[in-house]
Amino acid sequence: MKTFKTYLAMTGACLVIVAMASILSFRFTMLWLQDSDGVFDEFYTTQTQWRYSDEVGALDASPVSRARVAIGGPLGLSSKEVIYFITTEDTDGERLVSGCDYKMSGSDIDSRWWSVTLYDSTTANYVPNTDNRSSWHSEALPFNTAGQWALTISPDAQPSPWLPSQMNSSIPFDLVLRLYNPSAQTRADVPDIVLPIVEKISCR
Amino acid sequence: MPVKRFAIYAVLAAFIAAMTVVIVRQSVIERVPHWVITQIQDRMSSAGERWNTCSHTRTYGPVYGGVSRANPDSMVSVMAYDLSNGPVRISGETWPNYWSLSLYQDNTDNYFVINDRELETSAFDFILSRDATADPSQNAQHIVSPTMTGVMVIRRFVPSPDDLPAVLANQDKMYCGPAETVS
Repeated sequence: MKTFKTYLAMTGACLVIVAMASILSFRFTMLWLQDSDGVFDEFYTTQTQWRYSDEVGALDASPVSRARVAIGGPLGLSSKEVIYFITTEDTDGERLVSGCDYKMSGSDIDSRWWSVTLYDSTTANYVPNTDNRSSWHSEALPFNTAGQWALTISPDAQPSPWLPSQMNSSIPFDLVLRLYNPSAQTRADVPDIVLPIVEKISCR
Repeated sequence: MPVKRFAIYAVLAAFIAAMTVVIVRQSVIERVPHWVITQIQDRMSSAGERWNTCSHTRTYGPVYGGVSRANPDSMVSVMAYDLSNGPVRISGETWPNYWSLSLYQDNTDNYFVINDRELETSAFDFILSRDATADPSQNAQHIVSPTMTGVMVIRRFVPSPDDLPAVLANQDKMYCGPAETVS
C-alpha cells in the first residue's frame, strides 16, 4: 500500500512538473518569437544598418526563421521573386522611433521595381496618417538629375516626398525595402549593393 | 528523506522539466506557421464559408488591419484553398506593371511563384490539385499543392491611384473555383 501511494505521489509530481514546464515553455517561446525586434534576428547583417533575408517563404527555411517570418510578415515571396531588406536603426545604429525626424536617401536599385514601407514595430502594421501613405516606390519617388532621391520620415506633415511615422512619440518603427525581380547583377552583388541611408535630423 | 534520495528526485525532476521545455519549445516553433496560416485562411474564407473563392482589395493604398507587414503598393487577390473536394481553377489576365501568382502551403512556405514576364501570354489559367495525374485539362497549367489546404495571392503593382479602374476591371475578369466549372 505504501509503495502504491509513493507511486501515485511520484506520478502526480511528474504531471505537475510537466504541466508547469509546458506552460512556461509555451509562454516564453511565444514571447521570444513575437519580440518586435527579434523578428529579424534570423536576417543576415550587411555592412550598413540594413539586414536581409533569402529565407522568406523558402522551403528550406530554418524552423525558427519560418516561425518568426510567419508572425512578423507572413505570405512573403521567395527570393526567386523578391529580396527583402529591413532596418530598425538609423546610420548611427540608434533605434528608429517616431519621436525623431529622419532623412532617407539613395539612388535607383537595378530591379524591376522597388519600394520602401514604414511599419509600426509594435503592431507590425501600417501607421494611419492623413496622407494615407505608408510607402514610396521607385516609380513615384522624384529623382534628381544625379539620379538621387530623398524623403523625410516624420510624424508631422512635410513637403513631398514625406513618409509619415507615428504621432505618439518614441514608438519604434521599421523600414522594409523590397526589390522585385532584381537584375542578375543585383542578385550577384547582394548584400553589397548601394542601399538607402537613414539619417537622423532631429528629435523632439 | 535521506539527502541522497532527495538529490536523486531533484535531478529527476529537473531532467523531466528540461526535457518538457525543449519538446514544447520545438513544437511551438514548428506549429506557429500552421497557426498563422489557419488564421489567415479563416479571414480569407470568412471563417470557412468562402473556401476556393477569390477576394480582392478594391481600394488603393494601405489597408489597415491586414496581415503583418503587407505591401501597400500591390493590390492583391487572395484565396484560401481546400482541395479535399477536387482541383481548383484560377484564371484571368495578368497586369502589365507587375503581376505575380504565389502559392503557400499550410506552413506558410511559398512553394510556387510565377510572374507576368514568365508567362507566355497575358492570360493565365492554372489548375491546382493534390495529384499530379489528376488533371487531364486542356491548356491550363497544372500545379500540385504539397498540402490539402493553402493560400493563393496574386499581386499587381499599382503605381498610381489613376490605375484603380483598370485594376478593378482586371480583378473582375478572374475566376477562382472548382476546376470543372468553365470560367
